[in-house]
Amino acid sequence: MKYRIYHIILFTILSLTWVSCTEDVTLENPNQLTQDTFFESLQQIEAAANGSYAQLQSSGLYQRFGYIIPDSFSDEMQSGGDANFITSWSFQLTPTTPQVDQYWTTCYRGIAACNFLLGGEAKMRERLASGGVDFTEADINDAIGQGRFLRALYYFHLVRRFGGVPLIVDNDNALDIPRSEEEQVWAQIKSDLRAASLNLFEKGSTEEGRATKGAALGLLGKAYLFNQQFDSAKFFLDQITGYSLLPLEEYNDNFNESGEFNDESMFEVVYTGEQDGSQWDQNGRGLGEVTWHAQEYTGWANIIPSQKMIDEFEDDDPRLQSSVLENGDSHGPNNSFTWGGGRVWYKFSQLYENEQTQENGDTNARLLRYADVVLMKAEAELRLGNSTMAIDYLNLIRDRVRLPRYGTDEMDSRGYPVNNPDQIFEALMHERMIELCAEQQRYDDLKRWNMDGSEITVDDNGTNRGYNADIHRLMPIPQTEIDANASMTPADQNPGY
Amino acid sequence: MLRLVVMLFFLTSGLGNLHAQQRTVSGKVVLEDGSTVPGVNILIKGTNTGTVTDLDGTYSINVKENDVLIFSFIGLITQEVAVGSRSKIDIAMQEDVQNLQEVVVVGYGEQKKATLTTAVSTITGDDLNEYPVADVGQALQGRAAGVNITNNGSPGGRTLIRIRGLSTFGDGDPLVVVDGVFLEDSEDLRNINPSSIEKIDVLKDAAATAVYGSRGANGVIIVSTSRGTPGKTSVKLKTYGGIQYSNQRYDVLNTDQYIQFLREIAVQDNDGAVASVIADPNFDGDGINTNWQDELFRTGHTRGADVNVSGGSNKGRYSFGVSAFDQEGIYIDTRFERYNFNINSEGNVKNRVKIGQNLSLGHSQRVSPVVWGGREPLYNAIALPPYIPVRTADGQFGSSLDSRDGNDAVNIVRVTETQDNLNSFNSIYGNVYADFQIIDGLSFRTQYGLYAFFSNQNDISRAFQTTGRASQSETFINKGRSQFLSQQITNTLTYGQSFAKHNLNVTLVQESQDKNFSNVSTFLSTDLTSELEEIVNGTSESFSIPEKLFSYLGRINYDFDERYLLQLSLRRDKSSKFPEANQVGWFPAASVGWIVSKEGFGFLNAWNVSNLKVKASYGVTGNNQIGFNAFTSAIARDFFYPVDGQVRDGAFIDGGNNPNLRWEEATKQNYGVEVGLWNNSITASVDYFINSSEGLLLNDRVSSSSGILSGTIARNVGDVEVKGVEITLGYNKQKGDFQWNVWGNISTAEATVRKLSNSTSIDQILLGNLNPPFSETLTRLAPGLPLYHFFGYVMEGVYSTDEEVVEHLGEASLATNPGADAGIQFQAGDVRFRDINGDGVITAEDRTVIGDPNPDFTYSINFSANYKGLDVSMLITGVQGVDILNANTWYLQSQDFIANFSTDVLRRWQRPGDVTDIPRFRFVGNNSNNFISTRYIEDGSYARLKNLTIGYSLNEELLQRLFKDTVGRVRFYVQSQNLITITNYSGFDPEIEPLYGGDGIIQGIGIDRGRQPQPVTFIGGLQVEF
Repeated sequence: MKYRIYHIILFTILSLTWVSCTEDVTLENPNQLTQDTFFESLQQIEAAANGSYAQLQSSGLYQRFGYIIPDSFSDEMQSGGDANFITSWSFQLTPTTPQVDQYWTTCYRGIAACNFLLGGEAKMRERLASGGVDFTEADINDAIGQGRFLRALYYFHLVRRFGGVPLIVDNDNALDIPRSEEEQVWAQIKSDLRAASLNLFEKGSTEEGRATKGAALGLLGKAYLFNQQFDSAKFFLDQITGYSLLPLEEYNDNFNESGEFNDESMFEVVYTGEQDGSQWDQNGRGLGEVTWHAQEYTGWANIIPSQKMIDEFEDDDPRLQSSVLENGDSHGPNNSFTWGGGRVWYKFSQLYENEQTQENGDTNARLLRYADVVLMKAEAELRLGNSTMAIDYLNLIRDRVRLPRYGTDEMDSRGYPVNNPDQIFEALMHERMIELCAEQQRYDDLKRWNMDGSEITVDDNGTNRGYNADIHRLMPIPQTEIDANASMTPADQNPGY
Repeated sequence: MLRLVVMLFFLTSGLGNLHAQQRTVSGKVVLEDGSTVPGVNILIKGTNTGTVTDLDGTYSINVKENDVLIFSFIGLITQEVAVGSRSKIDIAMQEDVQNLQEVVVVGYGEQKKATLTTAVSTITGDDLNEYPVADVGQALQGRAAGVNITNNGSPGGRTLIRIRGLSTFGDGDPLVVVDGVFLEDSEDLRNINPSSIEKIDVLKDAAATAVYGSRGANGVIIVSTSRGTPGKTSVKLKTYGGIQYSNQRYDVLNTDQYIQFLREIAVQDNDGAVASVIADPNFDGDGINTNWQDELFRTGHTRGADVNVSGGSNKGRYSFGVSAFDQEGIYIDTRFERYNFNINSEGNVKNRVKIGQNLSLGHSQRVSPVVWGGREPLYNAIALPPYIPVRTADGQFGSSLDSRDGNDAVNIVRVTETQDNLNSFNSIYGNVYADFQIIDGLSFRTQYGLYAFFSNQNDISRAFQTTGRASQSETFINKGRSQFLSQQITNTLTYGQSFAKHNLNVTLVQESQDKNFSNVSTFLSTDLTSELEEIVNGTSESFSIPEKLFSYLGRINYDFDERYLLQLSLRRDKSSKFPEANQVGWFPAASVGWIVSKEGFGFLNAWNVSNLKVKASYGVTGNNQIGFNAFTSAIARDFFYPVDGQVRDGAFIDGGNNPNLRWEEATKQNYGVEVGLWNNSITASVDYFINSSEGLLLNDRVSSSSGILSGTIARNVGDVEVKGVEITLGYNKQKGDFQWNVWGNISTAEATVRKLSNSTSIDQILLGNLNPPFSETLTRLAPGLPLYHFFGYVMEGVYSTDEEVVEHLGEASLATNPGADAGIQFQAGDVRFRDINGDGVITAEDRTVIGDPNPDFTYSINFSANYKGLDVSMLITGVQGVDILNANTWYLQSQDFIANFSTDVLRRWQRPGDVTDIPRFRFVGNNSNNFISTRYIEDGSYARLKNLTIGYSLNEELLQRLFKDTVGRVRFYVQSQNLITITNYSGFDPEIEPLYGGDGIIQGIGIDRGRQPQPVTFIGGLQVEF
């Protein structure tokens, strides 16, 4: 009997020992990188940063709707009849309009990409501390700076279009997030940009295309301007150094391909112009990234400068020729081509270098340039009561295009006296509209100044465009979001939709 | 098992009780036919003393006068003999046929059928081998209640096995276990030699399948291969050959009708596609009238041969066999070949130790039909212009694209000749095991199991030239090489003992499985040559999928007097497929039974009730059939972004991750009654089941603010309930030489969706993209409704006149007078849809449930009889109350582009006032006439004579005269498969396999798109046993 019991024990032990060795069943993915193993090298950290930019190239943003939507809302534009513009231009967007959904979704994909990068910070620092890695503290800071800058940029696109949106700063907590208050979104934007401005390199110290300290400060100043916090706007805008306004001879470099990353340019969305067959549903993925700006605004003339826009130019303003083409105008290198396609936008059209526009546009979208910073500084100073400083800044813009300065008899006679803050503001409005025309600034400027209702009225034919500031300041939340987001109900829709 | 324990014990004890009056008794044990039986246990009743017969069947044992000897052997009826004064006792033992059938393999052990409390169906090897099939799965058809088989009709094509209906949106395949070794996919059954199979047990309810834990939800198929009977050396030889064909054809326009049709529709032709036919008013097809369906179909040949050898002694037993099967499809250039070799053996190495092995090698090769440009071969055969020759006089392939009309169907003969799809598949499965007898009743078994396959996919599309515009200057070669290896170790501790009338059996199992699938594929396109078959400088990629599973299982079977039955089991699985927090799952089950007939109730005898059992079970199982690492999203590196003028890698999460992912869970209840009447000559069983599947995986839509690229996350959100009844009836009759039995079953499985999403606003999922030809979805999932029901418009006829349109929907819906917000526009000759919501316009809102592809019930009837040497058997299978979406209707009647169509179009609407069911020709895209509607829905009920066999065995006297003792049995037979099918379905075949999406999720069921018919088969065969 002893013998048998011994056997039982032996077999039990045998099987149990064998068991304990192999109970762990967790496996690593041999095919693809996973979140657990990522952020082990500088290459990987940079790749996560690069991926955070990629959504800016998508059709929801600067391939198409990133400029189509805000531009067509503004009074700078007259519809050419194209369906992609007419719905926004005539304020007929609904919760199911595809471009609303695309714009929203693209911004949030960008935010998820940033959150992926930012969520890896702890891992990067841990691995740096334990040694044996090929990246430094500075590399981490730069990557984190880029992630926070870009996240702020995506939220900046969302908050101006939709108001208080779901605030997602962590991919592990990204599902079914309810709408936040608009102020919370702005607070996140400012906090991200402040951190970015401390972490990022100055332009010239980092690679072309990456976010810089100057870009972060510029966007931060703009955010404060939108929040009517002019002292803070001034504080951050004043810290921007290393940029200058291009001379008039190089003014077109702000809008053409050869002049990308010039001394005035502060942040650009980069396009290579390479088509890989995905250009009808560009999602940031793949090698081919094109912008259709040149086709939309120029080749196809889907949206053209409004008469009001043309009328705003002073007769001798050289910026008109840089911005708009009319029949018979010459364009291209050494003005060797003659335009015959009617009144169209010249800016970002490829026609500075080419005879015709093409679908595979490779002209970078300029999201921030120093002229805008100068004008924002003017606005901040004006609001803070420093009229002289404001006029001085405005005149920097005037000087560059060799137009008469504000405060001179000439400008007074042209109808732009600057004797009191209201008049200076009139001049500022005029100058921003001209300098930044078709650069997705005008509509938000009007909103910020509470002048959208009075300015966006009728089109070139005198027909009412149907703008109602109480409704159209915000676009509808996409129906897909309301349907699939468990924390949202139809009551969360923006008013009027 | 108990018997084995006893046998082994006495083998080893070797100690007799040396008492005073002892003497020796010896003798010989034989079977009824006189053959000797080695290895028979002989035990002195009431003692532990015994012996075993030797190779000659002889024994000797020391006994006392009043001892009783018990002779026992597996498969033979146990006999008790009083010794008395005899010194020589010869015994003739009888085969216990009844008993053999009554043992059921339940997974990690066997159980007597009589005391079974769970739902298990057993199919014998004889039934499986009744007619030759390409794979074992096909042979299961009609053999067990609740087991449904669909095969796509192409040789070697996928056979789908569904047990008790479909209760998942993903992989509904049952788990397949062969001799305790897990196969990877039920499709892998095709590489198992059917004639090596002793029997198949199908576990259906959760109390039975819960022992397989996270893999049991779709049911389990347990295959046991034969391993020889001691004392009997048997050689079985089978050979057969035959033909298969289908005479089914769609009635399409001939050359004259086709040209006439083109001329008539030219009036409506918008883009001049038929202009050149019209331009030459004398064109009459040049006397060519090609029947393209006849070019596609052919009579295929089938042949096969099997040899099986088995035998053994008290030291061990063995079985080995080879098998070959070769079948040509009924479409040109399709074929399936299979070769198998298997060897099983088992031996006693020590007194208490037994070792054994199974090994099976398989090779198969399949040439599959070519789907060209997303079009089934049948589509091209229907649509090709009949005035095109297969080949022109100068040997070039004829082509539709020769500018005479806009028809773009491709020459199917050209396609099959220039494209080769060859897949070869080699597999190995096997195990080695050792069985230790620790003490009486307690045994330990350890088994190493292996399943491996190697698959070679070779697709070559060669450059070609045709008479028309269609040509291909490049040759494309695609090759895939896959390897799969699964290794498993199973340790089983079993304790079985009886205490008075209490019978107890306890099983403890520990099991681990390690799997890896790896694949390399390579691709080349070249215009240098179309001759080469291998790749130089191709583009390649590879991937691999590892998986691990680690499990414990405990099971207790208890019964009192084989009257009150109880079974409890609990399995714990730990799987690498799930995130760490969810890796472990517990799967409990319980079942009870009461054998009423053992109570000796008088009324049961009065009613001639020989057996009456009631049983109930409840259990939880899982379905872990999800992709590798589905819970964590991978990092994609192709979010490129240009920095410093260079395009750099950009990383982003590829899809959404769900860290809470777990297996689908199925809670199943089963209630059953088994009745036997008149000494079990009539048997009946009824089972009622409720399967409630929860947490079914669906790609659930997520808020786009999550930024998840795919917009969906795999979530455990779906609930499906399946309820059904299974009834089995059998009748056995023997009257002299005439013996017959009839057996039938009928099953229902009503599947209803209960839940689809966590989000309350998502109340339906539209599925079933079949593009081409349909841009709309065909099927839908919606709570409270049957799984995968068809969703579309209701066709009310064809508008005879424009006035009818106006009367129905008002002026605004008239196509010639379009109004705003008028929905779909119609005119005379268009299909009229029902205005379901009564709003006066036809819009997408007027779609409704238009068909249910889930049958009301399925059934089968099996009849067999034999008289002297003659035997007849017949198997009828059927499906009742099922809808099919016949997409062929589009091939045959769509009339919105240039193609050949069914002769039905001759009665199409042509002028106002025509009253017909075929709409007008309408040369536009997005033609509302072809929207998904009841126009495509047909009743798919059918009854089919699946098998009819007539055989004749030579009588023994003749054999004796001809071959002396060498040949034991000779049987000739002829048989036919699918000889008769009774159905109202207008397509070729109402037996339709599911439509799968690229992600492996079912998109729909009962959708017939160019389905190849099941061939009618005639086979003649010979069976010889030595």
